[in-house]
Amino acid sequence: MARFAHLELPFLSNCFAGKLTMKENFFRSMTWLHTWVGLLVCWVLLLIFFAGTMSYYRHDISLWTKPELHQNVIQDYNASKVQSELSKAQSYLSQHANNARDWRINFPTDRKPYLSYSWQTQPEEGQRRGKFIEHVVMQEQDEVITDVRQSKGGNFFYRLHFDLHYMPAKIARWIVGFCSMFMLIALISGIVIHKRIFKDFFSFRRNKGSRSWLDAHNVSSVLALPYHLMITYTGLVTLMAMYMPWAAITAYDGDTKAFRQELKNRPAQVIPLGESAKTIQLTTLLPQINQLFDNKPIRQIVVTNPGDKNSRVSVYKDTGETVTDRRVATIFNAVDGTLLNKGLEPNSAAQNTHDTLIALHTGRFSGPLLRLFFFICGVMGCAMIATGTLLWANKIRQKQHKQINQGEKASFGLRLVEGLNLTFIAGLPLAASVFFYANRLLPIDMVNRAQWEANSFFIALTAIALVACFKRTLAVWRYVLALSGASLIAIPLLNALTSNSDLLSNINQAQWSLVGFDIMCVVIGLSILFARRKLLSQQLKQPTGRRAATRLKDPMVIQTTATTSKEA
Amino acid sequence: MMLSLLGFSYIAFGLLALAMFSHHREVLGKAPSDKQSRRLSITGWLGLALIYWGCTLDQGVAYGSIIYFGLLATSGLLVIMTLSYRAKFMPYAMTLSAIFSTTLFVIR
Repeated sequence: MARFAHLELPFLSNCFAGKLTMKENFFRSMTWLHTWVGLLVCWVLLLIFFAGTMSYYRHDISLWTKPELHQNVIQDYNASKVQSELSKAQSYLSQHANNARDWRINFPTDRKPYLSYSWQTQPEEGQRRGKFIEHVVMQEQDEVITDVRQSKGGNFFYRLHFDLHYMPAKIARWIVGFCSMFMLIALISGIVIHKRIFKDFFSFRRNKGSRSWLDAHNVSSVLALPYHLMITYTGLVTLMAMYMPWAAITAYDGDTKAFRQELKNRPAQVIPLGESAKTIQLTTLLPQINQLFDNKPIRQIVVTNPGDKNSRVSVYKDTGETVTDRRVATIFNAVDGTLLNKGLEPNSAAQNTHDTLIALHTGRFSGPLLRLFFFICGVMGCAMIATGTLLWANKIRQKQHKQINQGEKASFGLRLVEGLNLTFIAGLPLAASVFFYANRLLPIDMVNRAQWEANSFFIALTAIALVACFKRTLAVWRYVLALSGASLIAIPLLNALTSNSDLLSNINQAQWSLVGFDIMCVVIGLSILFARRKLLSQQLKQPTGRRAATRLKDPMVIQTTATTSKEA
Repeated sequence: MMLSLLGFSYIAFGLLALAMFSHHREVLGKAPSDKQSRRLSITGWLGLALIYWGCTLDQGVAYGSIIYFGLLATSGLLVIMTLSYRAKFMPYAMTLSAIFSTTLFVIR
């Protein structure tokens, strides 16, 4: 190092003056980085993590939010019935969706356990896409359900976790990308500053104030660390072509559309010729499809430009539990039935890597148990973010302990952080349950119903934010937690009262998505009430401390917490 | 099969925790000798390796590896819960999950 001493860099001279080794200095700057990078984006990140975690059960939530579909539609894929289902589908679609832009026949899969016909109407002038209409087939197969309430369902949470809301998707995705990048930095710097990863692996010392928050932060981070790294990194990968478009722009002369088309191995858009031609009977393609698919289940059949001379049939395989997110279509000419594209997987290492990474992020391939594990890890991610910011607030309040006791106001920064904590940590579960209540209680024929469901989510959050502007005491925390716990526990009751099935009848009919939804709500509600009780018992132990942080008297805290500012 | 592996990884993590001085004392009321400690930790790590092997054997390398991390996170969380709320119950919990997992493994 002496070689550089004459440069008189302030950073280096500080380092020598304070007799700090390079290593300590490095740790200190890493700690600084971890604290501030984490704090800056943590509430948006919490929202993203929360919504993303819910998205693992996106289809189950969607199903729950459409009680019209709860009876007589749940069915399994049955290879022997595909033929008759397909011919019925075609005649139904040609009757009801004559002038559509495309037809989609969706076979039941594990995640979307019902057969449905859907189509896209011709887009209106100036629009890129037409309207999507979906009719779900009843078990008897001669009837369809057309009157499904307007609801975004699970897609609301799915969209929320990368498109946010009330803003153009593009801006939202940039914000989300920015936050994810910060998250990645926070994770890596967190690993660096956590010197006792293995020694403290199982340590959770409860009822020790700030020490406990730090332990909880460490435990939730370390246990699911592979998951956290994976989800953050792959999250960035999902939108990498948007964040870093330059390679594609250079290689494709600015035509990023062409890049995406080649990346996803999609055929160029099929433009209708305007001459009508009869669409082939889809069932005649079945033997060929079964041979190509090795008799594996079909997930979806799409007919583009039905009734036009230039029309295609694309068939998608149900990829089941293979770890890939690729949708490669097997394509036929829809008029004469010639095979145009076998849909073989491209043999490119880069593409395979990309698809595997995306699959890891979305978890679409995962079975029920792995899905539950993903969900648990996601919850741990939320806990990691929440405990991190609570820890920060605790520590700062402790620093200002003396002034506050003398009757001074807490600093603006602290009040802001505590307010945001209350809003997001206690508010998000409440807002989600308000969303579910709105789904069942808003009038069915309300204008913009789906949007009002989403609005109710944000109204609940805003209400708590308003309360947080004036009061952030433990009492408010307990009140909000009690409310969200109780409302989540009452979800099965709500379901029983507002749909024609209930928990018991669903168990009887083996509709596990619905059963799972109800039980999950109760479990989460109970754990929220448990957290509330913990807050209560802590307060009783220290009757003088009205606020969370004033309870903390442990002198160890300052020495052991990650920030080493005191040492300086 | 996966549930039985969950039970086994609970035991493996339990052993690793018992290999640590403070947790051992908390659970069993006495400090472990160096030899004991080393033995416990070797068994624990071996167990984790075996569970990985079981996962890949049962579910294939790709799916098995992913679910392995899920198993570890969940069972680790359970061990931590036991240690911090019912430390003395730890040996019984491990015995119970040994019985449970072995039964599941045999009848599968």
